[in-house]
Amino acid sequence: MELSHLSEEMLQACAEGEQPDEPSAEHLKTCAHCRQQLEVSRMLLRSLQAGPDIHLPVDFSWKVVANIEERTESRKAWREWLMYGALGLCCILITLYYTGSNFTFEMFSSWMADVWRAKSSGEWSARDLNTLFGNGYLYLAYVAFLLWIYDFLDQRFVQKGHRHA
Amino acid sequence: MDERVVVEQVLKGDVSAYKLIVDGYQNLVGHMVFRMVSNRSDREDLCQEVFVKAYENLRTFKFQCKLSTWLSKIAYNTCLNFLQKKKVPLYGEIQEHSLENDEKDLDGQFSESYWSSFSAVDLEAMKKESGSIVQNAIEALPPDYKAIVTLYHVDELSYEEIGEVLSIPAGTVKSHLFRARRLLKIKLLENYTAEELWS
Ligand SMILES: [Zn+2]
Repeated sequence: MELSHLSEEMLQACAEGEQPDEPSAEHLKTCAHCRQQLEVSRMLLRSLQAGPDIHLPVDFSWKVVANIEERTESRKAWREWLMYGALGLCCILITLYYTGSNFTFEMFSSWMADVWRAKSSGEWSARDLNTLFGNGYLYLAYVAFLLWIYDFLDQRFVQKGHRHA
Repeated sequence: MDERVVVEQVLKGDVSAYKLIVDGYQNLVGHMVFRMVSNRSDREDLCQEVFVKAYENLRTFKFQCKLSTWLSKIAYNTCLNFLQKKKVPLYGEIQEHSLENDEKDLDGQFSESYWSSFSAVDLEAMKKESGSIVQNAIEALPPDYKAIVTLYHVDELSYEEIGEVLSIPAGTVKSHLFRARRLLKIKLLENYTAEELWS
């Protein structure tokens, strides 16, 4: 009798509702030990199925959404700063290119003064623009470069989230 | 809800649509986190973390598996990372070597006379009381085993799906599940008499 006790596999299967084979069923009828083993397996199964108690606040999903929105906002702000930074750097590079290696602070301040005069007089003539950017071709190159930077940043960061949708 | 529609809405930038996903799966994620992490104060934060991670990686989800499987995988990995960071031993107090004594331990814990004195009515009352003892024993299982018994018994994932969550073959899941249940039985019968278990 001792040797023919039900295997643990069989006990687990029976606990899950599988029908024992003929000899096992016969054995269960006469063996109290196996019946108690089966009952322990069943009890275990019920406890496992009950799962852990979950204590999450009722507004948990709102909290998640708020958390995500907060992160998205801060990332947007960061992106904007990155773009301004890139544009600023771009202006400096263009200025350096325009003035060549002879760049001095006096050149920069007189340039700024020209900008200020044009701004406060409210008249942006072609001559003013010429003053600012040296000549028309450089101005066009400047605009094209800014557009390219803007497009690059937009593609790289802003639209990235939607491309895979 | 049609998951595909909701997921597409979220990907188009509708964050509030994501609330539907959180509502639908917070129990699934909660089961995993509350089972694997014992520290109460960290559990809610971890559930949040799982859903934020899922949101941020949603565009990589192409319905190659069920959303529940995908979320479970994120929950499992998040818990595992957390446990590793907290230096919680990934193998609990139950060790595999106790399996060697398996048959011996499972034998003869209850007397036959005790068993034969059971009635069906008694069992109903006993079931409730034994619940917390068993929950404590589950608590002491290794994290992988806890994940597997939760995914299988509570969330009713298939062996294949659980295999995907834990990145192991379905056959391994099946044998781990068997061992986990056997370990629990050994542990319970080692530490408690029949009277304690059933009363
Ligand atoms: Zn037997």
